[in-house]
Amino acid sequence: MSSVPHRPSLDDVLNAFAVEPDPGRETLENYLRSFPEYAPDLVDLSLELSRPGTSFDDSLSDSEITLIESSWEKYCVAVAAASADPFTSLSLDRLRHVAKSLNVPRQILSAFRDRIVVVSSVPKPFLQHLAASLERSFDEIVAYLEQSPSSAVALSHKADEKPRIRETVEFEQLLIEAGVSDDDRVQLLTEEE
Amino acid sequence: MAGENSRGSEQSEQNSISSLRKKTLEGDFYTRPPTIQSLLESVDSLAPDEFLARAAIKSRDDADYIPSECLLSVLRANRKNSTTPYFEGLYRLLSERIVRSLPRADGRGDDPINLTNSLIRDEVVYRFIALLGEDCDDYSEGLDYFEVRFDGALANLRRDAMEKVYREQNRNAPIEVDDETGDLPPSVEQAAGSFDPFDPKKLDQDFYRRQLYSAIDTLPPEQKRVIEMILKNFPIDSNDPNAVTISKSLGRSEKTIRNYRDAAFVSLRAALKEDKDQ
Repeated sequence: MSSVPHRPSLDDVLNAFAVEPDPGRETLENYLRSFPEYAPDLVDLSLELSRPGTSFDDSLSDSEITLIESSWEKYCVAVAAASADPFTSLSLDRLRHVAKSLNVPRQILSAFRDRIVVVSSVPKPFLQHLAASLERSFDEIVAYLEQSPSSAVALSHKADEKPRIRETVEFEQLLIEAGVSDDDRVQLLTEEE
Repeated sequence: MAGENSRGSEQSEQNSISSLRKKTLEGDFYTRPPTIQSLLESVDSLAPDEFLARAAIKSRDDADYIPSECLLSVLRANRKNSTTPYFEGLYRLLSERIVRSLPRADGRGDDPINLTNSLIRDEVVYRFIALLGEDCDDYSEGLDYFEVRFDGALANLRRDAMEKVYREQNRNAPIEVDDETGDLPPSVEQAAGSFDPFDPKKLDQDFYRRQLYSAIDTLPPEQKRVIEMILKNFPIDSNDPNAVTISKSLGRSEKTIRNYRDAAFVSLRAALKEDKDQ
């Protein structure tokens, strides 16, 4: 604990304390000494860690059974939605990795996620590379991009104007707006595989 | 920080069970406890029905009991097959364990539902689903903590959910007292009296401990913290400037901490007496 290289966030400290093998008095004291600024949350967590463990003595109540059922239904709905949207649940790290492998800024992927690109303007090799990076088929990616722009995220905000749905844009225009160099643009727009 | 959390890369890379990706505060990768790692290797060859039967065992004392860390690891390994009956079975068993670990939402006497516990319970369950959902499509490093120490990570999720619910309910200390200068009414101090809710003999009894923690749940956050630190034997104040004290940790005067303690004792005594009377 003494060789912590930078000041960790509250979440990181709490998670670390939570998974200590022996989160007793001595461990709590060590954390309170090292991270006094997080003391109230550490003490709250200590209380939760001391709580008596799982009890299987009683049967589940009706509301608990209902909760398990509804949580399963919600999980299935979330997974179905995620499987239809290749960009959902992509972590920031993964998004960065995919953008790097495609040699485009992340905002290009955001435009694809929001479906504001004209699909027919995107060269097939780029779409194939995108599909492979997202572990989807070529047809799945095309089907996703051909849907209407995502209204939740494709709203264009300008001062003194009401938000409006942004119109779809040619792939080349997106690259220009994102500041992609001429040489890279030529390479990305090639139709040769 | 945790000694067993250094990366055991040789162990992890020799089998099909994937390594964890989350890093410790020191920058090393977390690893599963050795007992969990060996168990995962030994159950790897079990047929789905056999594993489900073992995962349904409820007693931790049973030799075939599957710890939640292991159950979650197998669930994650099957996350790309979430539409199968096997995955659903694993999910339901794990959900039941989570629900059972939470303060009961069924109230007592004339108050059949404990609304606060009900809100906390739902919040925890849905946050856990969100983590599983992230994990299904990509990889949720947040779930790695649950594979290192499931009960601890769940306790942290519960703490976070409680904080949110309490904030929404705007829970405040019910006893009127000036935090820094005021005194409790004499009646409160007398009522706290010689009452000791932390009698070691009583604390050894599982039933009493459950009652005590239910009673502590009813206290305002500041009082709960004081009680937890007293339970962990921290001094309220100390002449040693290097000592970790309740007063210093919670940023309150010694007088205020004593007031919180006395007010908490009154509430605990009343709650525990109610339990005894029932």
